[in-house]
Amino acid sequence: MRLEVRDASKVFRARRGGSAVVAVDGATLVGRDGEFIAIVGESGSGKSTLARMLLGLIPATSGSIQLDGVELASMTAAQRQHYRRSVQAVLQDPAGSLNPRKTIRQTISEIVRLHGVARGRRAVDDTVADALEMVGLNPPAAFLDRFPNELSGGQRQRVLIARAIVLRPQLIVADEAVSALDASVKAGVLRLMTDLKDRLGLGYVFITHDLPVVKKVADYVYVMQSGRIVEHGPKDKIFTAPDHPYTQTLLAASPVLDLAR
Amino acid sequence: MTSPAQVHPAPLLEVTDLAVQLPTGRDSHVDAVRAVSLTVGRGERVGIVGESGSGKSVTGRAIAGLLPTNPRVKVRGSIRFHGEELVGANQRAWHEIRSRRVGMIFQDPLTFLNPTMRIGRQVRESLAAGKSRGAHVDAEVLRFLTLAGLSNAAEVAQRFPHELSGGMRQRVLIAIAIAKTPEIIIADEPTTALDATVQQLVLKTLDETVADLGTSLVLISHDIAVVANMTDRIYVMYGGRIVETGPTQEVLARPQHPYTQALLRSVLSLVDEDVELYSIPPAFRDWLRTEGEALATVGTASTEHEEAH
Repeated sequence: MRLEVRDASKVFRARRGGSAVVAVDGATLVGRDGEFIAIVGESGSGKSTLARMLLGLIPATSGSIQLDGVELASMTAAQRQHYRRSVQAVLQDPAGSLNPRKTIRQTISEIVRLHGVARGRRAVDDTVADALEMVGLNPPAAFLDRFPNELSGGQRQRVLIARAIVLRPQLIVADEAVSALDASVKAGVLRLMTDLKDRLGLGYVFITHDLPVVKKVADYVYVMQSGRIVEHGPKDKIFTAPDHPYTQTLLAASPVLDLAR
Repeated sequence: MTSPAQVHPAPLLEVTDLAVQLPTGRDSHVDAVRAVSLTVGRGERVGIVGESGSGKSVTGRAIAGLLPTNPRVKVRGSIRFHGEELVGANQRAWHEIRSRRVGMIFQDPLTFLNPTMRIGRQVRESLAAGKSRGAHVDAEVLRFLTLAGLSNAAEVAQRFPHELSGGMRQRVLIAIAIAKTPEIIIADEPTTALDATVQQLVLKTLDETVADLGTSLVLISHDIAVVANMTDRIYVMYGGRIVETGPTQEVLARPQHPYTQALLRSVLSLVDEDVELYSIPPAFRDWLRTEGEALATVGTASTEHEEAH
């Protein structure tokens, strides 16, 4: 599977006579299954707008976004459904992405039924339990009937990942998916994500401002500044020999923890 | 970035066996802080690190007298400024603390700043009593804004909070905090919401202003890298208790408490390619919760810093 953005831009019209904002300016990138790509940049760089474009939540103003060669904007209903299943989102705020009045079982079953992943109560329950087990919420029975407020931040983020992978997607677009978590919980969720990459062949488009995390888990990195992708390359190249001055600035600003070990 | 060795006589702030209980529902409560003892000397920089829910922010707010005024919020133990007991003290004593002695900087400046008031006036209101009137007031406001790293102070003073960037708002908070010329500044996650490049500038500003004014600093953060570079001594909190304390570099280099060791391992696993991603096992947390009380705090909270200098 190949999710490809070619020279895509997003312009937001201004209110009351202000000038228009070019949030994404001619971005080109490729996300594939089995590959962990990262888009890094600071606030206002346009990385979250790009994420929403990849997820089909907002249309591009110009340029092209294609899934396996099919233009997002001109998909048939069947193609669109396939796209909605194969490309899933995991967003930053798990509390805001989960309905507080639904149990974990209700939240995930709903999606399973909607996409026809399983039919019949028993089969749906099994599918949901499998997904929870896969994200390390063990035993599933202990979590199924809980509400989001009865879970910790890390557990909620795992529920979101379970909700995404239950559809057997090939790509996950994750926007600041671990940014709000404590170091220990963050490490746990990242390990889960890389595990799923290895076990299910999932690919990630991982959007973040957290450079150490990118260095740890990404295969390929895009650097965004003011709506433009200013540099991209394999992770090692970006971190050891960055070409663009902005990448160099970002790397220098990242807080360093120097522990004598 | 730490300040040159300074003399720390009797501690400015001495907290002993602090416990704070907060209501969570109609008849439920949580022991947010269980047993916290700490000291801060004059001009000293102290860090408090811990994960979310460790009680570090509640500790900071208790010291600053900023806990909610709800009869169900229970504070026990002792908080002393210059030896003067504040737990159970009257409103006037706390007003003195809040208006003159302790400056507080929060993570989210928008909840602290008044959205309908120009920046200049908000800084002016914070000036020490007696300085808030007269012709020199405007000059004072500009001086503190400039000290807080806002070079175009005159322009910033005319602005409303929403017209400023996140980094500038955070510097305005620093200006407001130092304008009361406090003896101590408590900064709770002051740069957590900022981009790394902005964070670096704001920390540098904070570092320089407290050094210039000789103000003590309590820096509260979940980010060990931030605390490591800014403080002389560190307190590590877990489950409402201080589990370890000592000189910052020493604790980070040779952590003694099993929780500190696990915490540092997880932090390190995120930045060091040679360390496998590590998250603290739930079973270890359960063990800490049940057996943790029996473990003594590692390091001594007081007097140690005097010998160190």
